[in-house]
Amino acid sequence: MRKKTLCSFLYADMTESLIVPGDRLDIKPENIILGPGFYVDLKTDEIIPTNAGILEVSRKQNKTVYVIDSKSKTYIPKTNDFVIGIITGTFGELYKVGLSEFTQAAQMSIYAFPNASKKNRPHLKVGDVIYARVLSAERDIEVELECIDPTTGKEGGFGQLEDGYLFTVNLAYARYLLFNENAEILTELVKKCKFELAVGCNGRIWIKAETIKTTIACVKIIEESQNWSKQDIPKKLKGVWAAFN
Amino acid sequence: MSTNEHQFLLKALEEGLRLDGRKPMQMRHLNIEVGPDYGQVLVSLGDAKVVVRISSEIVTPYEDRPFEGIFQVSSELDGMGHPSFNEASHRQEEEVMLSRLIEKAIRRSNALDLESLCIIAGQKCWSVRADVHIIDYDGNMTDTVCIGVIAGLLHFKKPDISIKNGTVILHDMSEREPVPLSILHIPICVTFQIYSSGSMEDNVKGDGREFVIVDATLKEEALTQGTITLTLNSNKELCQMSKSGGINLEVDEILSLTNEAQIIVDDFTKYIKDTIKKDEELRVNPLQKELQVVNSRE
Repeated sequence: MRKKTLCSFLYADMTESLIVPGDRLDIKPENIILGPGFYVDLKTDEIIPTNAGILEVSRKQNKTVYVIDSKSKTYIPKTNDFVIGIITGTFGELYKVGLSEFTQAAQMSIYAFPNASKKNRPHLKVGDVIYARVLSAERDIEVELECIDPTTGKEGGFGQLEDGYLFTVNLAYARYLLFNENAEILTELVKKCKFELAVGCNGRIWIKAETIKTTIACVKIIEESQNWSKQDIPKKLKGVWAAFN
Repeated sequence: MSTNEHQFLLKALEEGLRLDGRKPMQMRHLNIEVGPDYGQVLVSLGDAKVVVRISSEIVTPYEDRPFEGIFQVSSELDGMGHPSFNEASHRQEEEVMLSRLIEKAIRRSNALDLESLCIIAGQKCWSVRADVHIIDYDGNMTDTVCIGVIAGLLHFKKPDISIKNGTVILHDMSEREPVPLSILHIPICVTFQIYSSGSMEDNVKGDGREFVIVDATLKEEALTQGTITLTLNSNKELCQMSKSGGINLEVDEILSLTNEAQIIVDDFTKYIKDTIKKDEELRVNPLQKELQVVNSRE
Protein backbone atom coordinates (compact mmCIF):
# COMPACT_ATOMS: atom_id res chain seq x y z
CA MET A 1 0.00 0.00 0.00
CA ARG A 2 2.72 2.41 0.98
CA LYS A 3 4.66 1.70 -2.19
CA LYS A 4 1.62 2.49 -4.32
CA THR A 5 1.15 5.94 -2.86
CA LEU A 6 4.89 6.64 -3.09
CA CYS A 7 4.88 5.68 -6.74
CA SER A 8 1.80 7.69 -7.61
CA PHE A 9 3.56 10.72 -6.17
CA LEU A 10 6.59 10.01 -8.31
CA TYR A 11 4.54 9.53 -11.45
CA ALA A 12 3.48 13.13 -11.32
CA ASP A 13 6.94 13.87 -12.62
CA MET A 14 8.02 10.60 -14.13
CA THR A 15 11.50 11.43 -15.27
CA GLU A 16 14.28 9.58 -13.46
CA SER A 17 12.10 7.44 -11.18
CA LEU A 18 13.05 3.95 -10.07
CA ILE A 19 10.91 1.23 -11.59
CA VAL A 20 10.72 -2.48 -10.78
CA PRO A 21 9.05 -5.13 -12.96
CA GLY A 22 5.30 -5.18 -12.38
CA ASP A 23 4.95 -1.52 -11.41
CA ARG A 24 1.84 0.15 -12.78
CA LEU A 25 2.76 3.05 -14.97
CA ASP A 26 -0.55 4.24 -16.42
CA ILE A 27 0.98 5.30 -19.72
CA LYS A 28 -1.55 6.05 -22.41
CA PRO A 29 -0.56 4.17 -25.58
CA GLU A 30 -0.96 7.17 -27.92
CA ASN A 31 1.91 9.05 -29.51
CA ILE A 32 4.57 7.19 -27.63
CA ILE A 33 7.79 5.42 -28.50
CA LEU A 34 8.68 2.54 -26.20
CA GLY A 35 12.31 1.71 -25.66
CA PRO A 36 13.77 -1.49 -24.22
CA GLY A 37 12.40 -2.78 -20.94
CA PHE A 38 8.67 -2.77 -21.70
CA TYR A 39 6.11 -5.39 -22.59
CA VAL A 40 2.75 -4.58 -24.11
CA ASP A 41 -0.01 -6.93 -22.99
CA LEU A 42 -1.74 -8.24 -26.10
CA LYS A 43 -5.23 -8.31 -24.64
CA THR A 44 -5.44 -5.18 -22.55
CA ASP A 45 -2.83 -3.02 -24.33
CA GLU A 46 -1.36 -2.28 -20.94
CA ILE A 47 2.28 -1.24 -20.86
CA ILE A 48 4.18 -3.24 -18.24
CA PRO A 49 7.85 -2.79 -17.32
CA THR A 50 9.91 -5.97 -17.45
CA ASN A 51 13.28 -4.63 -16.31
CA ALA A 52 14.29 -2.95 -13.10
CA GLY A 53 15.94 0.41 -13.63
CA ILE A 54 15.54 4.14 -14.02
CA LEU A 55 12.64 5.34 -16.14
CA GLU A 56 13.67 8.03 -18.59
CA VAL A 57 11.03 10.15 -20.26
CA SER A 58 11.89 12.48 -23.11
CA ARG A 59 10.20 14.03 -26.12
CA LYS A 60 11.15 13.37 -29.72
CA GLN A 61 9.21 14.74 -32.68
CA ASN A 62 5.95 15.25 -30.79
CA LYS A 63 6.09 11.78 -29.29
CA THR A 64 6.98 10.86 -25.74
CA VAL A 65 9.81 8.37 -25.47
CA TYR A 66 9.87 5.98 -22.54
CA VAL A 67 13.04 4.01 -21.83
CA ILE A 68 14.03 1.92 -18.84
CA ASP A 69 17.78 1.88 -18.56
CA SER A 70 19.22 -0.84 -16.38
CA LYS A 71 22.83 -1.82 -15.77
CA SER A 72 23.38 -5.07 -17.60
CA LYS A 73 26.36 -6.78 -19.18
CA THR A 74 24.72 -9.55 -21.18
CA TYR A 75 24.00 -8.40 -24.69
CA ILE A 76 20.78 -9.52 -26.40
CA PRO A 77 20.92 -8.71 -30.12
CA LYS A 78 18.25 -6.40 -31.56
CA THR A 79 17.68 -5.36 -35.15
CA ASN A 80 19.47 -2.17 -36.19
CA ASP A 81 22.01 -2.29 -33.38
CA PHE A 82 25.56 -1.35 -34.33
CA VAL A 83 27.90 -4.00 -32.96
CA ILE A 84 31.57 -4.94 -32.87
CA GLY A 85 32.13 -8.60 -33.65
CA ILE A 86 35.07 -10.97 -33.93
CA ILE A 87 35.18 -13.49 -36.80
CA THR A 88 35.19 -16.94 -35.23
CA GLY A 89 34.83 -19.09 -38.33
CA THR A 90 34.37 -19.18 -42.09
CA PHE A 91 32.00 -21.68 -43.63
CA GLY A 92 31.72 -21.39 -47.38
CA GLU A 93 29.57 -18.34 -48.03
CA LEU A 94 29.07 -17.49 -44.38
CA TYR A 95 31.11 -15.90 -41.63
CA LYS A 96 30.49 -16.82 -38.02
CA VAL A 97 30.84 -13.71 -35.88
CA GLY A 98 31.05 -13.72 -32.10
CA LEU A 99 29.24 -10.79 -30.48
CA SER A 100 30.00 -11.75 -26.91
CA GLU A 101 31.90 -14.55 -25.23
CA PHE A 102 30.00 -17.79 -24.49
CA THR A 103 26.93 -16.94 -26.53
CA GLN A 104 25.97 -18.40 -29.87
CA ALA A 105 27.77 -16.79 -32.80
CA ALA A 106 25.94 -14.61 -35.27
CA GLN A 107 26.07 -15.12 -39.03
CA MET A 108 27.17 -12.80 -41.79
CA SER A 109 26.96 -13.57 -45.47
CA ILE A 110 30.02 -12.77 -47.60
CA TYR A 111 27.68 -10.76 -49.81
CA ALA A 112 26.77 -8.38 -46.95
CA PHE A 113 29.43 -5.93 -48.07
CA PRO A 114 29.38 -3.07 -50.59
CA ASN A 115 30.22 -4.24 -54.14
CA ALA A 116 30.32 -7.87 -53.05
CA SER A 117 30.10 -10.61 -55.64
CA LYS A 118 31.36 -14.13 -56.20
CA LYS A 119 34.56 -12.74 -57.67
CA ASN A 120 34.90 -9.92 -55.14
CA ARG A 121 35.10 -11.63 -51.76
CA PRO A 122 35.96 -9.72 -48.56
CA HIS A 123 39.39 -10.56 -47.11
CA LEU A 124 38.29 -11.41 -43.60
CA LYS A 125 40.04 -14.10 -41.54
CA VAL A 126 39.35 -15.72 -38.17
CA GLY A 127 40.26 -13.25 -35.43
CA ASP A 128 39.47 -10.10 -37.43
CA VAL A 129 37.37 -7.41 -35.81
CA ILE A 130 34.43 -5.90 -37.69
CA TYR A 131 31.91 -3.11 -37.16
CA ALA A 132 28.52 -4.30 -38.35
CA ARG A 133 24.78 -3.73 -38.13
CA VAL A 134 22.33 -6.32 -36.88
CA LEU A 135 20.17 -7.20 -39.86
CA SER A 136 17.76 -9.54 -38.09
CA ALA A 137 17.47 -10.84 -34.56
CA GLU A 138 14.49 -13.15 -34.24
CA ARG A 139 13.90 -15.70 -31.51
CA ASP A 140 15.20 -19.20 -32.21
CA ILE A 141 16.97 -18.14 -35.43
CA GLU A 142 20.61 -17.19 -35.66
CA VAL A 143 21.31 -13.49 -35.60
CA GLU A 144 22.31 -12.01 -38.95
CA LEU A 145 24.71 -9.14 -39.49
CA GLU A 146 25.70 -6.98 -42.41
CA CYS A 147 28.44 -4.46 -43.16
CA ILE A 148 26.49 -2.16 -45.47
CA ASP A 149 24.83 1.14 -44.64
CA PRO A 150 21.15 0.41 -45.44
CA THR A 151 20.37 3.93 -46.62
CA THR A 152 23.32 4.52 -48.93
CA GLY A 153 24.35 0.99 -49.89
CA LYS A 154 27.96 1.99 -49.23
CA GLU A 155 30.41 1.15 -46.47
CA GLY A 156 29.22 3.87 -44.06
CA GLY A 157 31.82 3.20 -41.41
CA PHE A 158 31.14 -0.56 -41.28
CA GLY A 159 33.70 -3.21 -42.12
CA GLN A 160 36.99 -4.34 -40.68
CA LEU A 161 38.65 -2.45 -37.82
CA GLU A 162 42.39 -2.86 -38.12
CA ASP A 163 45.00 -2.64 -35.34
CA GLY A 164 44.01 -0.83 -32.19
CA TYR A 165 42.68 -2.57 -29.08
CA LEU A 166 39.36 -4.05 -28.02
CA PHE A 167 37.76 -3.95 -24.56
CA THR A 168 34.31 -4.15 -22.95
CA VAL A 169 32.20 -1.86 -20.80
CA ASN A 170 28.70 -2.36 -19.44
CA LEU A 171 25.88 -2.04 -21.97
CA ALA A 172 24.28 1.12 -20.62
CA TYR A 173 27.61 2.97 -20.82
CA ALA A 174 28.25 1.74 -24.35
CA ARG A 175 24.82 3.03 -25.45
CA TYR A 176 25.53 6.34 -23.74
CA LEU A 177 28.86 6.73 -25.55
CA LEU A 178 27.38 5.70 -28.87
CA PHE A 179 24.38 8.02 -28.87
CA ASN A 180 25.85 11.09 -27.17
CA GLU A 181 28.28 12.87 -29.47
CA ASN A 182 29.25 15.25 -26.70
CA ALA A 183 29.84 12.67 -23.98
CA GLU A 184 32.00 14.48 -21.44
CA ILE A 185 34.55 11.73 -21.09
CA LEU A 186 35.31 11.76 -24.80
CA THR A 187 35.45 15.53 -25.20
CA GLU A 188 37.87 15.70 -22.26
CA LEU A 189 39.95 12.77 -23.52
CA VAL A 190 40.38 14.26 -26.97
CA LYS A 191 42.10 17.26 -25.35
CA LYS A 192 44.88 14.91 -24.22
CA CYS A 193 45.47 12.84 -27.34
CA LYS A 194 44.12 11.93 -30.76
CA PHE A 195 42.29 8.63 -31.08
CA GLU A 196 39.91 6.68 -33.27
CA LEU A 197 36.96 5.08 -31.50
CA ALA A 198 34.23 2.60 -32.41
CA VAL A 199 31.50 1.70 -29.92
CA GLY A 200 29.25 -1.35 -30.23
CA CYS A 201 25.86 -1.83 -28.58
CA ASN A 202 27.16 -5.20 -27.40
CA GLY A 203 29.38 -3.39 -24.93
CA ARG A 204 32.58 -3.68 -26.98
CA ILE A 205 34.75 -0.65 -27.69
CA TRP A 206 37.55 -0.48 -30.26
CA ILE A 207 40.16 2.22 -29.88
CA LYS A 208 43.28 3.23 -31.79
CA ALA A 209 45.55 5.98 -30.51
CA GLU A 210 48.95 7.17 -31.67
CA THR A 211 51.18 5.14 -29.38
CA ILE A 212 50.79 1.98 -27.34
CA LYS A 213 51.12 3.95 -24.13
CA THR A 214 48.40 6.45 -25.01
CA THR A 215 46.11 3.61 -26.12
CA ILE A 216 46.53 1.83 -22.79
CA ALA A 217 45.94 5.10 -20.93
CA CYS A 218 42.74 5.77 -22.92
CA VAL A 219 41.47 2.23 -22.29
CA LYS A 220 42.05 2.55 -18.56
CA ILE A 221 40.37 5.97 -18.44
CA ILE A 222 37.26 4.82 -20.30
CA GLU A 223 36.98 1.63 -18.24
CA GLU A 224 37.28 3.45 -14.94
CA SER A 225 35.05 6.34 -15.98
CA GLN A 226 32.07 3.98 -15.83
CA ASN A 227 32.02 4.73 -12.11
CA TRP A 228 32.82 8.45 -12.21
CA SER A 229 30.27 11.21 -11.79
CA LYS A 230 30.13 14.00 -14.39
CA GLN A 231 31.78 16.60 -12.16
CA ASP A 232 34.70 14.33 -11.28
CA ILE A 233 35.62 13.55 -14.90
CA PRO A 234 38.23 16.28 -15.61
CA LYS A 235 40.03 15.78 -12.30
CA LYS A 236 40.07 11.98 -12.33
CA LEU A 237 41.02 11.85 -16.00
CA LYS A 238 44.03 14.04 -15.22
CA GLY A 239 44.98 11.70 -12.37
CA VAL A 240 44.92 8.52 -14.47
CA TRP A 241 46.67 10.26 -17.40
CA ALA A 242 49.46 11.49 -15.14
CA ALA A 243 50.04 7.95 -13.86
CA PHE A 244 50.90 6.90 -17.40
CA ASN A 245 53.20 9.73 -18.35
CA MET B 1 40.44 -13.20 -28.76
CA SER B 2 40.92 -11.06 -31.79
CA THR B 3 44.14 -10.71 -33.78
CA ASN B 4 44.04 -7.00 -32.91
CA GLU B 5 44.31 -7.75 -29.19
CA HIS B 6 46.97 -10.37 -29.80
CA GLN B 7 49.19 -8.03 -31.80
CA PHE B 8 48.60 -5.13 -29.43
CA LEU B 9 49.62 -7.18 -26.43
CA LEU B 10 52.87 -8.32 -28.05
CA LYS B 11 53.73 -4.81 -29.26
CA ALA B 12 53.06 -3.47 -25.76
CA LEU B 13 55.31 -6.13 -24.23
CA GLU B 14 58.12 -5.19 -26.58
CA GLU B 15 57.92 -1.70 -25.09
CA GLY B 16 57.80 -3.13 -21.58
CA LEU B 17 54.15 -2.12 -21.09
CA ARG B 18 51.29 -4.19 -19.77
CA LEU B 19 47.60 -3.64 -20.39
CA ASP B 20 46.77 -2.67 -16.82
CA GLY B 21 49.74 -0.31 -16.55
CA ARG B 22 51.89 -2.69 -14.46
CA LYS B 23 55.59 -3.18 -15.00
CA PRO B 24 56.68 -6.62 -16.28
CA MET B 25 57.82 -7.80 -12.84
CA GLN B 26 55.03 -6.19 -10.83
CA MET B 27 52.47 -8.37 -9.05
CA ARG B 28 48.87 -7.33 -8.63
CA HIS B 29 47.64 -6.18 -5.24
CA LEU B 30 47.37 -9.06 -2.77
CA ASN B 31 44.63 -9.00 -0.16
CA ILE B 32 44.03 -11.74 2.43
CA GLU B 33 41.03 -11.91 4.74
CA VAL B 34 41.07 -14.56 7.46
CA GLY B 35 38.32 -15.91 9.66
CA PRO B 36 35.91 -16.04 11.28
CA ASP B 37 36.58 -19.78 11.47
CA TYR B 38 40.14 -21.03 11.92
CA GLY B 39 41.55 -22.02 8.53
CA GLN B 40 39.08 -19.93 6.54
CA VAL B 41 40.83 -17.63 4.08
CA LEU B 42 39.73 -15.36 1.22
CA VAL B 43 42.63 -14.42 -1.06
CA SER B 44 42.41 -11.94 -3.90
CA LEU B 45 45.29 -11.19 -6.25
CA GLY B 46 43.91 -8.33 -8.31
CA ASP B 47 40.59 -9.67 -9.61
CA ALA B 48 41.47 -13.34 -9.07
CA LYS B 49 39.61 -14.55 -5.96
CA VAL B 50 39.92 -17.81 -4.08
CA VAL B 51 38.36 -19.14 -0.86
CA VAL B 52 40.23 -21.87 1.02
CA ARG B 53 38.88 -23.83 3.98
CA ILE B 54 41.06 -26.12 6.06
CA SER B 55 39.42 -28.91 8.05
CA SER B 56 40.70 -31.84 10.10
CA GLU B 57 39.47 -35.18 11.34
CA ILE B 58 40.94 -38.21 13.09
CA VAL B 59 41.48 -41.26 10.88
CA THR B 60 43.62 -44.39 10.61
CA PRO B 61 47.00 -43.65 8.98
CA TYR B 62 48.15 -45.36 5.77
CA GLU B 63 49.58 -48.82 6.38
CA ASP B 64 52.94 -48.01 4.80
CA ARG B 65 53.24 -44.72 6.72
CA PRO B 66 52.23 -45.44 10.32
CA PHE B 67 54.06 -42.42 11.77
CA GLU B 68 52.57 -39.79 9.44
CA GLY B 69 49.26 -37.99 9.17
CA ILE B 70 47.42 -37.33 5.92
CA PHE B 71 47.18 -34.07 3.98
CA GLN B 72 45.01 -33.55 0.90
CA VAL B 73 44.29 -30.56 -1.28
CA SER B 74 41.09 -30.55 -3.29
CA SER B 75 40.69 -27.85 -5.92
CA GLU B 76 37.90 -27.96 -8.45
CA LEU B 77 37.31 -25.58 -11.31
CA ASP B 78 33.66 -24.88 -12.04
CA GLY B 79 31.45 -22.38 -13.80
CA MET B 80 31.54 -19.98 -10.85
CA GLY B 81 35.15 -19.13 -11.55
CA HIS B 82 34.72 -18.64 -15.26
CA PRO B 83 31.96 -19.65 -17.72
CA SER B 84 34.45 -21.52 -19.93
CA PHE B 85 34.81 -24.13 -17.18
CA ASN B 86 31.33 -25.42 -17.82
CA GLU B 87 32.82 -27.39 -20.70
CA ALA B 88 34.54 -30.50 -19.36
CA SER B 89 37.42 -30.56 -21.88
CA HIS B 90 38.91 -27.17 -21.04
CA ARG B 91 38.40 -27.67 -17.34
CA GLN B 92 40.19 -31.03 -17.10
CA GLU B 93 43.52 -29.74 -18.40
CA GLU B 94 43.56 -26.67 -16.16
CA GLU B 95 42.45 -28.64 -13.10
CA VAL B 96 45.20 -31.22 -13.49
CA MET B 97 47.91 -28.57 -13.99
CA LEU B 98 46.70 -26.58 -11.00
CA SER B 99 46.45 -29.50 -8.56
CA ARG B 100 49.80 -30.87 -9.74
CA LEU B 101 51.60 -27.59 -9.06
CA ILE B 102 49.99 -27.10 -5.64
CA GLU B 103 50.82 -30.71 -4.78
CA LYS B 104 54.48 -30.20 -5.61
CA ALA B 105 54.72 -26.80 -3.96
CA ILE B 106 53.06 -27.55 -0.65
CA ARG B 107 52.82 -31.29 -0.11
CA ARG B 108 56.07 -32.54 -1.55
CA SER B 109 58.06 -29.65 -0.12
CA ASN B 110 56.93 -30.75 3.35
CA ALA B 111 55.53 -27.39 4.32
CA LEU B 112 53.16 -29.21 6.68
CA ASP B 113 55.00 -31.56 9.03
CA LEU B 114 53.10 -34.82 8.58
CA GLU B 115 54.80 -36.55 11.50
CA SER B 116 53.36 -33.97 13.86
CA LEU B 117 49.91 -35.15 12.80
CA CYS B 118 50.48 -38.61 14.24
CA ILE B 119 48.49 -39.40 17.40
CA ILE B 120 48.97 -43.11 18.06
CA ALA B 121 51.42 -44.69 15.63
CA GLY B 122 49.73 -47.06 13.23
CA GLN B 123 46.28 -46.47 14.72
CA LYS B 124 45.20 -42.85 14.82
CA CYS B 125 46.37 -39.72 13.08
CA TRP B 126 45.04 -36.38 11.90
CA SER B 127 43.86 -36.00 8.34
CA VAL B 128 44.08 -32.35 7.25
CA ARG B 129 42.16 -31.31 4.17
CA ALA B 130 42.32 -28.08 2.18
CA ASP B 131 39.26 -27.31 0.06
CA VAL B 132 39.87 -24.68 -2.58
CA HIS B 133 36.97 -22.79 -4.16
CA ILE B 134 37.77 -20.56 -7.09
CA ILE B 135 35.39 -17.62 -6.99
CA ASP B 136 36.86 -15.47 -9.77
CA TYR B 137 39.26 -16.79 -12.35
CA ASP B 138 41.47 -14.00 -13.68
CA GLY B 139 44.74 -15.62 -14.59
CA ASN B 140 47.53 -16.87 -12.36
CA MET B 141 45.40 -19.16 -10.23
CA THR B 142 48.50 -21.15 -9.27
CA ASP B 143 49.97 -18.33 -7.20
CA THR B 144 46.60 -17.31 -5.76
CA VAL B 145 45.67 -20.85 -4.73
CA CYS B 146 49.12 -21.51 -3.26
CA ILE B 147 48.94 -18.39 -1.10
CA GLY B 148 45.42 -19.37 -0.06
CA VAL B 149 46.39 -22.89 0.99
CA ILE B 150 49.51 -21.93 2.91
CA ALA B 151 47.79 -18.98 4.61
CA GLY B 152 44.91 -21.31 5.51
CA LEU B 153 47.30 -23.85 7.00
CA LEU B 154 49.07 -21.16 9.00
CA HIS B 155 45.76 -19.81 10.31
CA PHE B 156 44.13 -23.18 11.04
CA LYS B 157 43.94 -24.63 14.54
CA LYS B 158 42.91 -28.19 15.30
CA PRO B 159 41.17 -29.28 18.52
CA ASP B 160 43.45 -30.27 21.37
CA ILE B 161 43.68 -33.97 22.22
CA SER B 162 44.90 -36.00 25.19
CA ILE B 163 45.59 -39.70 25.46
CA LYS B 164 44.39 -41.60 28.54
CA ASN B 165 44.99 -45.36 28.82
CA GLY B 166 45.21 -45.78 25.07
CA THR B 167 42.01 -43.81 24.38
CA VAL B 168 42.18 -40.55 22.50
CA ILE B 169 40.11 -37.76 24.04
CA LEU B 170 39.16 -34.96 21.70
CA HIS B 171 38.67 -31.67 23.55
CA ASP B 172 36.11 -29.14 22.46
CA MET B 173 37.39 -25.72 21.27
CA SER B 174 35.73 -24.02 24.25
CA GLU B 175 37.25 -26.47 26.73
CA ARG B 176 40.84 -26.25 25.62
CA GLU B 177 42.62 -23.81 23.30
CA PRO B 178 42.90 -25.31 19.82
CA VAL B 179 46.39 -26.10 18.57
CA PRO B 180 48.00 -24.65 15.41
CA LEU B 181 49.56 -26.95 12.80
CA SER B 182 53.29 -27.47 12.57
CA ILE B 183 54.32 -25.55 9.45
CA LEU B 184 58.01 -25.98 8.67
CA HIS B 185 58.34 -23.29 5.98
CA ILE B 186 56.14 -21.05 3.86
CA PRO B 187 56.40 -21.91 0.15
CA ILE B 188 54.94 -19.36 -2.26
CA CYS B 189 54.55 -19.91 -5.99
CA VAL B 190 55.50 -17.22 -8.51
CA THR B 191 54.35 -17.85 -12.08
CA PHE B 192 55.91 -16.18 -15.12
CA GLN B 193 54.65 -16.14 -18.71
CA ILE B 194 57.04 -16.09 -21.67
CA TYR B 195 56.40 -14.41 -25.01
CA SER B 196 58.57 -14.22 -28.10
CA SER B 197 58.57 -11.51 -30.75
CA GLY B 198 60.33 -13.61 -33.35
CA SER B 199 59.37 -16.87 -34.99
CA MET B 200 59.67 -20.33 -33.43
CA GLU B 201 62.81 -20.91 -35.48
CA ASP B 202 64.48 -17.80 -34.11
CA ASN B 203 63.62 -18.84 -30.60
CA VAL B 204 65.03 -22.33 -30.98
CA LYS B 205 68.23 -21.03 -32.57
CA GLY B 206 68.62 -18.52 -29.77
CA ASP B 207 68.21 -15.50 -32.04
CA GLY B 208 64.77 -14.46 -30.85
CA ARG B 209 63.86 -11.90 -28.22
CA GLU B 210 61.87 -13.22 -25.28
CA PHE B 211 59.77 -11.20 -22.85
CA VAL B 212 58.85 -12.44 -19.42
CA ILE B 213 56.08 -11.08 -17.22
CA VAL B 214 54.92 -12.09 -13.77
CA ASP B 215 51.34 -12.65 -12.56
CA ALA B 216 49.46 -12.67 -15.87
CA THR B 217 45.79 -11.70 -16.14
CA LEU B 218 43.35 -13.86 -18.09
CA LYS B 219 44.04 -12.07 -21.39
CA GLU B 220 47.79 -12.21 -20.98
CA GLU B 221 47.54 -15.90 -20.08
CA ALA B 222 45.48 -16.67 -23.19
CA LEU B 223 48.36 -15.54 -25.42
CA THR B 224 51.18 -17.14 -23.49
CA GLN B 225 53.83 -19.10 -25.36
CA GLY B 226 55.48 -20.62 -22.29
CA THR B 227 54.97 -20.76 -18.54
CA ILE B 228 57.46 -21.19 -15.72
CA THR B 229 56.46 -21.51 -12.06
CA LEU B 230 59.04 -21.09 -9.32
CA THR B 231 58.21 -21.85 -5.70
CA LEU B 232 60.47 -20.26 -3.10
CA ASN B 233 60.34 -19.54 0.61
CA SER B 234 61.80 -16.68 2.63
CA ASN B 235 64.78 -18.89 3.64
CA LYS B 236 66.08 -18.35 0.11
CA GLU B 237 65.28 -21.95 -0.81
CA LEU B 238 63.85 -23.09 -4.14
CA CYS B 239 61.12 -25.61 -3.29
CA GLN B 240 60.05 -26.52 -6.79
CA MET B 241 60.43 -25.41 -10.36
CA SER B 242 58.11 -26.24 -13.23
CA LYS B 243 58.38 -25.40 -16.92
CA SER B 244 56.26 -27.75 -19.02
CA GLY B 245 57.18 -27.21 -22.64
CA GLY B 246 56.61 -23.82 -24.17
CA ILE B 247 59.25 -21.72 -25.90
CA ASN B 248 62.87 -21.81 -24.81
CA LEU B 249 64.27 -19.39 -22.29
CA GLU B 250 67.93 -18.67 -21.65
CA VAL B 251 69.39 -20.08 -18.47
CA ASP B 252 70.70 -16.67 -17.35
CA GLU B 253 67.18 -15.33 -17.69
CA ILE B 254 65.83 -18.10 -15.45
CA LEU B 255 68.43 -17.35 -12.79
CA SER B 256 67.48 -13.68 -12.82
CA LEU B 257 63.83 -14.73 -12.49
CA THR B 258 64.64 -16.53 -9.24
CA ASN B 259 65.98 -13.23 -7.91
CA GLU B 260 62.79 -11.43 -8.93
CA ALA B 261 60.73 -14.21 -7.38
CA GLN B 262 62.67 -13.97 -4.11
CA ILE B 263 61.77 -10.29 -3.72
CA ILE B 264 58.09 -11.06 -4.30
CA VAL B 265 58.13 -14.07 -1.96
CA ASP B 266 59.76 -12.10 0.88
CA ASP B 267 57.15 -9.38 0.47
CA PHE B 268 54.21 -11.79 0.48
CA THR B 269 55.55 -13.90 3.36
CA LYS B 270 55.74 -10.81 5.52
CA TYR B 271 52.20 -9.81 4.59
CA ILE B 272 50.81 -13.30 5.32
CA LYS B 273 52.52 -13.46 8.70
CA ASP B 274 51.32 -9.95 9.62
CA THR B 275 47.73 -10.76 8.64
CA ILE B 276 47.66 -13.90 10.78
CA LYS B 277 49.31 -12.15 13.69
CA LYS B 278 46.76 -9.29 13.57
CA ASP B 279 43.91 -11.80 13.53
CA GLU B 280 45.39 -13.64 16.51
CA GLU B 281 45.65 -10.40 18.48
CA LEU B 282 42.00 -9.64 17.82
CA ARG B 283 40.91 -13.06 19.07
CA VAL B 284 42.79 -13.02 22.35
CA ASN B 285 40.77 -11.25 25.01
CA PRO B 286 43.28 -9.95 27.63
CA LEU B 287 40.87 -10.52 30.53
CA GLN B 288 40.14 -14.03 29.36
CA LYS B 289 43.84 -14.78 29.35
CA GLU B 290 44.15 -13.65 32.98
CA LEU B 291 41.35 -15.91 34.10
CA GLN B 292 42.44 -18.95 32.09
CA VAL B 293 43.79 -21.84 34.12
CA VAL B 294 46.85 -23.38 32.61
CA ASN B 295 46.04 -27.04 31.98
CA SER B 296 48.67 -29.53 32.97
CA ARG B 297 49.29 -32.12 30.30
CA GLU B 298 49.24 -35.71 31.46
